[in-house]
Amino acid sequence: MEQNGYGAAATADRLDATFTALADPTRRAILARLAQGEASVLELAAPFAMSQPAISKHLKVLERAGLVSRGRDRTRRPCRLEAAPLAEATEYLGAYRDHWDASYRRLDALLLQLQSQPTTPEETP
Amino acid sequence: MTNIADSLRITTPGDTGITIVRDFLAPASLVYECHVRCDLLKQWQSAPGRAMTQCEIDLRVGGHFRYLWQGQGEGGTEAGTEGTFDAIDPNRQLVTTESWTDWNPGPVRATTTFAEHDGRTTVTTVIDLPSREVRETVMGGMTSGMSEAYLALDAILAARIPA
Repeated sequence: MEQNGYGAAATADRLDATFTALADPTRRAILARLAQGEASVLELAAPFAMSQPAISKHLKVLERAGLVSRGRDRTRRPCRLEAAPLAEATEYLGAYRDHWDASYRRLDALLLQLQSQPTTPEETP
Repeated sequence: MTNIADSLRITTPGDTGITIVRDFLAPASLVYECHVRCDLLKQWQSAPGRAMTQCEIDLRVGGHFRYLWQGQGEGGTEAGTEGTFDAIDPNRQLVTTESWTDWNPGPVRATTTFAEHDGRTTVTTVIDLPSREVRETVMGGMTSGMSEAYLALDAILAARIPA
């Protein structure tokens, strides 16, 4: 197993904040909604059986993690998804997944090749 | 038609587990062969710049196996895995206990199951690591429940394209 070289404390802190924010299903649902376009707190609260203050609390966590920014419009203050920390988190979590994904894609190719041959030769290892 | 590679699912059950699930478009016997024959293993376990240079398999209960990978270029690093077959159910399941030569945090137990259905084979690998800390290192800081977050991330990022 290779240990990855990520070491910078700032990156680790940022990732911590991102992962903490993502650990909650409501917050993930909020992000999924914002991925389709900006929305007000009221609009975000609508699909949830949750009060507006409860949603605002979740939004604060997302804002602190840099995943959501708020617009300037005083009355509406629309929420917007900030994708950069997400991309960073995906890249970080992706290393292990990438390893399996790449290995298994090579196995796909090998299986295809073996099946296109008339017979599979029985070789001793 | 969806891409078979999209069937890859990685989850983190309990405190020390990692489960990897993936479908393959081949019968179980062939997928199994690719896991226990060195001539086949070497082909798909060799990545660009990192070749599987050694493979020894004694395929019987209590038998040993040993794999070695060599990075290319000057000072190319070596990584190895060696272990024992604890249980063998041909074309269905392999249970191994292994250790890593470059970093050895303790024995790693792995159960690989091959389940054929409708011409496809689902390979499920359940890895049990020595501790929660080891899992976090292996997964690059991923903690319990993060796999769900990861799947959600996929969906969120996919929804943003084109951004």
